[in-house]
Amino acid sequence: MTKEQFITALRKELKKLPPEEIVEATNYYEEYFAEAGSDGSTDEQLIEQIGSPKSVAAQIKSEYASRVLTGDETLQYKPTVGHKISAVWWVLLGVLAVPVGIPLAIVLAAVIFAVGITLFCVIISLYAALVGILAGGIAALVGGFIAIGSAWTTALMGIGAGLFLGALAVLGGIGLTILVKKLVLVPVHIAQRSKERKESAS
Amino acid sequence: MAFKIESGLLDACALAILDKGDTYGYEITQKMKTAVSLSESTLYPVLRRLQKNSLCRTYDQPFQGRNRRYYSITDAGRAHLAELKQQWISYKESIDSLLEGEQS
Repeated sequence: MTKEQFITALRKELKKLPPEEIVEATNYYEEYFAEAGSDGSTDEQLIEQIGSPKSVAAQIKSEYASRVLTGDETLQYKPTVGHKISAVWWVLLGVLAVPVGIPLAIVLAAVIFAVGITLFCVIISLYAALVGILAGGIAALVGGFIAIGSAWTTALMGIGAGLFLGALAVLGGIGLTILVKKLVLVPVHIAQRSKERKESAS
Repeated sequence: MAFKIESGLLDACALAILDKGDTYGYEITQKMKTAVSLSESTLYPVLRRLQKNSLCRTYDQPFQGRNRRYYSITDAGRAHLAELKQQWISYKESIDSLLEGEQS
């Protein structure tokens, strides 16, 4: 075993402790290797003196545990978004684990699918409505220009209504697009966050 | 050796070494080993406990292109050491008198 392997193994043994404790302990042993190795001892010899990563970790963990038990250290468990999501996954896996869960899972998938389709339809229909408003606006505008020669009041109303409807369609389109982008990004964010969590955990 | 050194005594020994001047983990272990049989992995939890109880504090100093963490005794640490010394003397005396059969 090299000292790098020792440190890696130690870090793994300590992974349930708060990050600060892990950093402190691994820093200490990295420094210890550097100090003790300066007399020419090999990694193997040093590790034989220090003991296995498991026994070193056990001492560190028991010291931490006694600090927690005496109340000097408060266990601060703040569930992050990642934790909550992984809790949801555990519930889902639990549901899948029982035979009765499979129909339930199909129902759940169907519900998610239906919600997705519904959202998609609502968005499409909103865009269609905006296109309709825009078309109406253009028609009113064209009609207004045509009427300029014959009836100027009709022309003014047509041009005004056309401009108004056109502006409404453009603004609505911009707003709707921003909303859709945000909706699409939510699952992407969730996926990214769980990916980052996995990377930092390993 | 028939006698085990336990955490109160380890705290006292480590504080006594730090009381003589700031030093780093490896050297503290070596100094302790001159007095008691000690595994190389015993000291870290002791230092961590002292640090967490504000009996010592740490600072880093560069040494040969790496980091060396020095431990330094605090006022609270000195007070605790004095207390432990008192307790040790009375404990030692009572054990001595028991072993030597009430000579006083």
